[in-house]
Amino acid sequence: MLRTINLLKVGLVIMAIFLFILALQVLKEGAGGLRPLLERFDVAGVINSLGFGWLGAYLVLSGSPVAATALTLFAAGVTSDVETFAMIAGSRMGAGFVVLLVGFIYYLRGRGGVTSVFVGVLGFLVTATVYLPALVVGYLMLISGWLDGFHLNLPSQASDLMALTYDPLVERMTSYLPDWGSFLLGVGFLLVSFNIFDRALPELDVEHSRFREIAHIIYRPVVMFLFGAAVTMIVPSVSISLGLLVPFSARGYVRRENIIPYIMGANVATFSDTLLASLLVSAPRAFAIVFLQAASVGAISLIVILFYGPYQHVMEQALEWLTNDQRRLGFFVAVILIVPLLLMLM
Amino acid sequence: MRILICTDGSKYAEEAIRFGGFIAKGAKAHLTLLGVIEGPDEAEKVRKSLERARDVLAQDVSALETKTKMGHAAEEILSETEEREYDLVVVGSRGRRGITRFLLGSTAARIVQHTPISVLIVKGKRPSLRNILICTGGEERGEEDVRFGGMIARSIRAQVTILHVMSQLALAPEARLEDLEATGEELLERETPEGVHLRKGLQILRELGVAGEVKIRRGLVVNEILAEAEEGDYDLLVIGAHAAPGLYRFLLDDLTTQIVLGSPRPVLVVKPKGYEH
Repeated sequence: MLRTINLLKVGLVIMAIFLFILALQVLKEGAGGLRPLLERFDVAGVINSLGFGWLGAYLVLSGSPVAATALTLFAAGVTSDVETFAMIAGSRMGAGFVVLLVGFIYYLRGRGGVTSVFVGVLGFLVTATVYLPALVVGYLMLISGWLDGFHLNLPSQASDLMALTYDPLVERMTSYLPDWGSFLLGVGFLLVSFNIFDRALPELDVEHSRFREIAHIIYRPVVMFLFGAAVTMIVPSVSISLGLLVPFSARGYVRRENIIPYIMGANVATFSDTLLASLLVSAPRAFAIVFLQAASVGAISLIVILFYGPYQHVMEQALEWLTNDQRRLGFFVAVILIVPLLLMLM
Repeated sequence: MRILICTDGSKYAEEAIRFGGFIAKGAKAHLTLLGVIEGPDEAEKVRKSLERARDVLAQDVSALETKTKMGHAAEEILSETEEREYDLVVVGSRGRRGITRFLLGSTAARIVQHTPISVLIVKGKRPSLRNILICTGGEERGEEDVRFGGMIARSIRAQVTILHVMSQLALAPEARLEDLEATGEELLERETPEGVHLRKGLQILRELGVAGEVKIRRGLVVNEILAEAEEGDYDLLVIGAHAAPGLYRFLLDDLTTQIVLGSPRPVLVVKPKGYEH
């Protein structure tokens, strides 16, 4: 199914990882430059941070770069643990909306009927119904101090090697730039690294495979959950993970029954790069923050999978209600577009 | 056609005898009535049930025999289907729901899962048998379901609706959306994979001399089938049970059992030739 791995792709992966680490170091250096911006908009506390992360994902059309950036803000002491936690959750909500927004724009431009937004609406609903309860659970656990003793760092040899490789480079790059300039440079590196990583993804050749023959069949929810998690483990975002499903179907379709657990699995596994970032930013509690979020999302998702029938039914009704009236759908999209701004400025 | 109708003397089994007997009469089938006694105190009830059934069916069904077995209902019915060759097994269902179903299981569902023979699960009381809904997944293997359902429809002069549920969604906005939004007629005209299959289904019905039409619904497969059964006031649902080879059995969802357990109406589960669990 996978074509033989070529050296160019291996090279791209190595370059993406190098840039990813460099981006985190530069971002950490320049994170202080964001403080005036956060103070100006009075971004403080869980609600504001949630909105900030959410809006950030809109700006870069992805959640992972924002989540990684949130960790560098934490490492630089700009944001607290709960604010970082909320910012990462916000970044996932924003990323969940990106697929819907793209579909809605297609719909407005008359490229397709209302069915073009179905996966986007479902994706956002699933993300919201899992992440918002997970945010509450994770927040309560975080403030209870339950994970205070839980630290995970890179081995000292790896940290030393990283410092040896990156410190001179970062110093040279940032010494002539103001903090905000370093921050922007870091964001740029981060986006480029994710972009390179996208290009390095293996090409799926499922045209004549047995999997394609049966891809239209309905799978058990837990199977699709694990499949979504496994695929998303190797890609930087849920939307790209969804895109990887396209070759599995001759017409680019997926069963309604399969997509919800797939998105749930993807929502859990999408933390893999953020977990890696949490180790690389060298802040003792960073890993605990991300781990707690991944665990909360995973736990809520598993509960949903256990009671999958009723949940699926509610999601289906919500999808129908939102999409059978053009104005209602437009209003929904507009509200979701504005909500993070309101949260940030509250 | 050889039909096996099973009774444990309950009112649900009485309905199965009435419903199955009607089909046996129309199909001029060879009918076996099997009474299963689960406990010593049920022997009389089962004996009376068999007697009543014989009295009612003897006038209409020429080839009729009765048998009695002792033991667990599902086990005894399954062993009977292994011992002799049948084309259809008819059982009544208590229609247990919720925790009772979880704790006690469903005899009907167990038989459906373990026998290679088509099974008719009779639920509720239907005053007649005129409207049949054949549900098909839009693939070649669904043709056998249409044929079997069509043969039943022909024997009792019922009309048939072939239902296909489009549960697909477009993964990307630029995907081919027209097929997802098409009506039944449009699918037939465009010769999409579903359209080709539905056209074949209609052709099978025509060859059998059965009046049929096509219906498309959109949504979750199980939900839409059950909703259509209710809205269309059908007397019988026909669905296929297709064996999944090896590992796929554990990977794929069991929609047949979900429909059997969820439907308040009689359900005929068609097993293809060579079906093995």
